Amino acid sequence: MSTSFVSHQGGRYFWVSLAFMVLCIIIYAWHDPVQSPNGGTWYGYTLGTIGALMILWLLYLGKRKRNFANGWGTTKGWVSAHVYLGSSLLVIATLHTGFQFGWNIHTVAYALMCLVIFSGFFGVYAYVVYPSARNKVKKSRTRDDIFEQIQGIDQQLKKLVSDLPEEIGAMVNSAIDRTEFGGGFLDQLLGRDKSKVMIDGIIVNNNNQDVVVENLVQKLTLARGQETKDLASLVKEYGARQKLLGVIRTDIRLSAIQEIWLSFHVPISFGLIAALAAHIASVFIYW
Amino acid sequence: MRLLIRYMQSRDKAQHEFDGNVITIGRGTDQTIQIADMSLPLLHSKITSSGRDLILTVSDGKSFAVNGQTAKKQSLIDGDVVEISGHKLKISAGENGFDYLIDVELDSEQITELKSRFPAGLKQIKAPRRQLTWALFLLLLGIGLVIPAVGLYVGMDKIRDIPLVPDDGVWLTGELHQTHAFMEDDCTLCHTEAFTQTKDEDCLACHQSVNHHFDTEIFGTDYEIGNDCADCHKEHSATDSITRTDQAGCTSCHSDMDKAGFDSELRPATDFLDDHPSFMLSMHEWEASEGWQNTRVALSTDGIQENSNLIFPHDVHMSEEGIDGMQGVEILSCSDCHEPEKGGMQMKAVTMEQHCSDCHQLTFDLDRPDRVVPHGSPPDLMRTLREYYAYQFLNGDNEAEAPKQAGGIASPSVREARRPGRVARPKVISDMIVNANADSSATMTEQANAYIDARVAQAASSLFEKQTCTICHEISKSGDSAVPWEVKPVKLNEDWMPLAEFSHGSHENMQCSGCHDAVNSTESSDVLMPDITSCRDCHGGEDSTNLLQSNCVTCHEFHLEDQRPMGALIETANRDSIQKLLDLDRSTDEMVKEE
Repeated sequence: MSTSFVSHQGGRYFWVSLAFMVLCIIIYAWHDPVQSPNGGTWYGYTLGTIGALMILWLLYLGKRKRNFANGWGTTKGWVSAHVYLGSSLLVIATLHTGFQFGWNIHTVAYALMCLVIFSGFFGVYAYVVYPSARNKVKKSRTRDDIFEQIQGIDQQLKKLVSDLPEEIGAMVNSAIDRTEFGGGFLDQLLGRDKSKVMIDGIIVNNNNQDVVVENLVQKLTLARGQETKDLASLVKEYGARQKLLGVIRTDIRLSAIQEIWLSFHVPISFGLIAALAAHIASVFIYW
Repeated sequence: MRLLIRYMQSRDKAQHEFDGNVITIGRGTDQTIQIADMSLPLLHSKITSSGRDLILTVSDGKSFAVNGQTAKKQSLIDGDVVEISGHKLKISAGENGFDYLIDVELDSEQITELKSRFPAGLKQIKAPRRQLTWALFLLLLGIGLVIPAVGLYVGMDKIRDIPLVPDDGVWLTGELHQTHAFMEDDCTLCHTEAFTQTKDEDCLACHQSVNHHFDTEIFGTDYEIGNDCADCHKEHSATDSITRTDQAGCTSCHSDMDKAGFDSELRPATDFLDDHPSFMLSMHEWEASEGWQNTRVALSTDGIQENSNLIFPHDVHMSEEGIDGMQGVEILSCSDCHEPEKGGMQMKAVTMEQHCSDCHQLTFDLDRPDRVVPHGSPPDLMRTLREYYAYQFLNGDNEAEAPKQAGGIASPSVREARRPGRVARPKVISDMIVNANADSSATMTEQANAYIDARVAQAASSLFEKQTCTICHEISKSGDSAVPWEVKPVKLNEDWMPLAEFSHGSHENMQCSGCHDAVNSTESSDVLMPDITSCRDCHGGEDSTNLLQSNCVTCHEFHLEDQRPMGALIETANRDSIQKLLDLDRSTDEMVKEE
């Protein structure tokens, strides 16, 4: 996704939310309620109402921005508004609390809102930083391109081992078959490599293909004649494969980090809606 | 068991020697026979060896076929062909020390491309994100909203003890003040009706003795502000005062009482420093026919006088040189007579007995300085004198001499002396009997009465008119022969400003003379109350920056002592709340006992 939502239309929504936040802070400083500022003063109710409506609207924006080229406004504009107006909520809601917090459903709603916003901040950061970082790692290739390259190398490797001793073929073939990348949540996020290889009938970990590379290099040092040549080509090809797999793992890891915030942002947003409903309802039940 | 596993793909032939008892088959890279086919589970089935036999058992897979027969568990023998999702495993007897040979022939069409074998993006993981979202949503909605909503219909009492139902603190919007903190676990004690702000009845159920601000019989019970307790008393903000102290609440009426619809003599006030009327004093005056009459007089009135009817010059008593006292010259200070009451608000009453009588003794017989007349009632005074002189007439006034005289022999050496202007001392009665014949013109009773009357008249006249009463009191003659003098009643003003609360205690760091110019007061009729400018030396208005910020409630109370209790409004309403509180107390008591 393009990151130009940050500076969409000269940062229009940045200035809009900044102005709004400043206005809210000025009114907060100016208003002089009988009690300490809290959600129950006229300004507290006003900020609360604005905040609650904004949360609903932002939630709608979250849905709307996925419908590209649908309805009025551009997706980029919606994202920009979502980010900046969402950020301003941090100020509005904090002023609404009057800085009064406790172990209660009201503060839970506030805390969830903060989590949503902060995870959103990370999302902005991720969308600004990670796509270009991934592109750099992949040298502007797509992941499919890299897989195609690996597939080509695999063909090459299989051809090369057919002339080499059986045990080498068995190891290399097994390493190709037992190559892993990605995987579960943590595997992706940490870029774990759970690749394995069967050597002498025993399955061992082949993290970063190191075991195989080491094994081949060792064999290379002991090889003679044609075998040296073949082994050298094999090592070279295998090294290239190792490197490409590394790129893929890095890309998966970065893409996981880039996307991870959504795993929090969305569920917590719904938790926030529930807490917000409870907050509003309970305040009026126990008015 | 030793096995040789051979992969039969034409080009990339490979074989592994395996030594073990369990051969695992599946998609997982850690399986003995790994088949990169996404349609297979990670662990499809297992071959276990039992002696020389091989047994194939399905693990996470559905089934396999042995020689075309679908099975879930099957013994394998030489020549069997196992088929798993198109991939074939041929079992044959081994040679060269291998127990068995397994030829693996993978269906290359079924083999998944490398790039599709593993989830390579978070979106490809079957994460229970949706379920988590719903769980979080429902959990919070349940705790936060459903519970109080259910409580609304069935009563929180009934569900509060159910496990996992949180206590009411979950919905508390802010800490309660200390005095209400004991109710924190039950919102419904104050919030008796949902979607309705706490009602006066809910407060008054406990605070029954709180009084109205004005006479409700004249003005009704409609307050422009203060209609609801909550207008001035805010809870759930323990760091704030529970009572609002800003002036706006008061000045909404007191800036213009007429405009506010009250027919009141109260003058407008909006700020102590900038807009507050001069002080009014509650004064009293003695009317012979009516008794003590109260009036409100502006302190600024020219020639204002206190009418206590007491004669008391402060300047004499507070002279720097001192004043003659019982122990010689005494230097008096204010606190010798004026002591604040407990709590420091008013001053204790000044009384003759406590504060004056040490010096102003009510003696009447120089020979008997220990005998005094009672203070406060002229008839009692006269009676005491009569009793005294009657006793003297009968027994003589010198008790030390009595036995000797009783013996009937007066010492010739005792020379009878008579003070000038005084009736001669009588003999004791025995002497009179002895001398009865000497003066027979009067009976003994007549003689006694004559003696007593003369002595009482002399002493009373001296007390009332010359030496004692008249020093402090206004005395006039009365027509009553029994008590021929009248003392004008005395009343010291104990509450000059009953509509204000002034604490002497909180001003104890100040000099009395800072507000009360007593040292220069020559007459008791001087009014020594300070005026508003004196207060304004230190006290400013609500927003003063260089003076003590003072607002209406600094000096004035809203709930006035002399008005009817607001609790009368509810009378029998809301007994439930009270009962609940009583129950709460009881259960707390029980808990304490159990401990």
